[in-house]
Amino acid sequence: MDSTTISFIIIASLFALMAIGVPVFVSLGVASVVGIVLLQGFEALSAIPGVMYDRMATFTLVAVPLFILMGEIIFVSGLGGDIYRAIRISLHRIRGSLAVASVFACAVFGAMCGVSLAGAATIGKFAIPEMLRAGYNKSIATGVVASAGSLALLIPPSVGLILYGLVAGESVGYLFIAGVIPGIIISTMMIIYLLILGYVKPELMPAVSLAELESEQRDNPWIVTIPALLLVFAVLGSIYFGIATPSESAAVGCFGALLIAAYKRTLSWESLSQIIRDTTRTTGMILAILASALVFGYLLTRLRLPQDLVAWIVEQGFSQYAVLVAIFVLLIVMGMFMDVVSVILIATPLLLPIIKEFNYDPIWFGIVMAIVTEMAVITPPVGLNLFVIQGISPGNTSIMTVARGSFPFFLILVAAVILFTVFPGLVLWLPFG
Amino acid sequence: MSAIVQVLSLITLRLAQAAILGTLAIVSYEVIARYVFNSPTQSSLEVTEYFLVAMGFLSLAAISSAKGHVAVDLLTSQLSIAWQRICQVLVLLITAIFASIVTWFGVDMTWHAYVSQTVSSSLLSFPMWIAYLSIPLGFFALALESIAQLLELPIRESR
Repeated sequence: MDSTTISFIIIASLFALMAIGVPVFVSLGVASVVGIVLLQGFEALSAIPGVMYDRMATFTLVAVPLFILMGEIIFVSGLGGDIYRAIRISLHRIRGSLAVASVFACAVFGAMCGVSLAGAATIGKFAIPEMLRAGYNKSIATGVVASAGSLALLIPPSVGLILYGLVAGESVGYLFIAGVIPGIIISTMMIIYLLILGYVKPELMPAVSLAELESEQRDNPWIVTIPALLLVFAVLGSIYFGIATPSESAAVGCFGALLIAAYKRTLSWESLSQIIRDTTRTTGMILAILASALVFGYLLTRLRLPQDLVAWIVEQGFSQYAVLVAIFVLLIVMGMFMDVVSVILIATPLLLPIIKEFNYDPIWFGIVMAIVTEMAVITPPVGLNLFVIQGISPGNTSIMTVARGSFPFFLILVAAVILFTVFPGLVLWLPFG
Repeated sequence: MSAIVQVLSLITLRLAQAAILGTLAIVSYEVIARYVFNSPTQSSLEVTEYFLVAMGFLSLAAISSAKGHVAVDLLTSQLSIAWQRICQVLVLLITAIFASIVTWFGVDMTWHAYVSQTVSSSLLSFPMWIAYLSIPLGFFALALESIAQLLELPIRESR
């Protein structure tokens, strides 16, 4: 059987397996098994455990469980609520202050946490009821937190960027640093949108008086917010200045987070066991998909599918922008139906050779892909942040209410992808100068 | 059978959790050794790579039992109950077969490393069969877990 036919068979079986509800890691694994047997026979399956082991046992990847652990500690500590409360008091003069504060808080939280739902959940739990009490439109109140929560996928430390770095063979440190400016730009774009909306349609986001904000909680939220900000600078600064590897700064971050949680008196045997349980579960789930994706990538290389795809595209004479648009649309569609980790791990080995062929920087592509995965978590039918926000919103909130509120932010992310494609220097300047 | 599966699932889960705590301890120790005492110990970081493999594979069964593995349920949730049940059976069967294949070849790889006394090429000379063992052990637990879930399906239905 020729490699093109095998390629079609494995891609078709991958999607067929996922469609009937087979877990993503098993779907990837079984599609790989089918492909390897067709290509080299049953005996060649003996390569599978070796491929899984060799590519997974790397120190770079050690940052994944540690950053997840740090995020879980911070999640349990309830720090997100404090950051939100602190920022909203400082911003009370501007219109739409609660929504703007949610974006700020999610961005800061994203700088401490590598996955998107923790920020959305912890800040949303506090911010959404408050925005609704203040008379905010429900779609806006829920959409802003769902969307800003997705910033964690781009703003370092991001688990998605670590996985991309591993599969693409790129430096995770550079990817982290490259994510900083786009993260700030997208947060700023979201805030500008909210300020304009507050000015044009003030009835959607009524003003809140300082007295209302201060009367609710007696403690000063800045007492824990300032150490949290210092922790962000310690973790990211140590990577930027090359003092520590991402894994080492993650370990330091875990201890910083533990200190903050201890100060907030949220640590108990029960909460510690919840932290360990959830960290193991998230880490195991991600590493399982990674292990199978590595075998799938190994098969793709054996089949020379990425190279054939590049040759075909070059032969057809498509323009580079047409190819880029096709890639972005493919990623967005994949993201509508799949989780972020699967999108990154399945798409990278296939698409990266095309990107390199057109002389785009792999670091740039990692960042753009992270932005596209942000879109994935806020678009129905499968958008993780939409589900999380629907789950924590008071009253009957439909997925469509959250999705409607997220849609303008989806457009902002599209605008950001266009911006960074036209000006790749915005992404590459900080890591490469 | 289900009691044995549960025990195996729990043991492998606890080992994966220990691997996460061990990784935190080792990397923290390394940070202190390097930046405070200026005496880095490269070999300790090597151990974290073995722990990483352990946390990836040993948690497979426990996560499966908690329905924690990512799957796309968009299409199946639209099906009738009967078709959903057929899909569930297929999912568990396919998972069990895949896990068995990896277990089989994982045992082969681990056994070869044990017999040939393969060690890591670092100063630590770590016996590689211990590092490899997480793969067959984790997938074996997953295969058993899937079979146990499969056997439980009709029982749930008759209740």
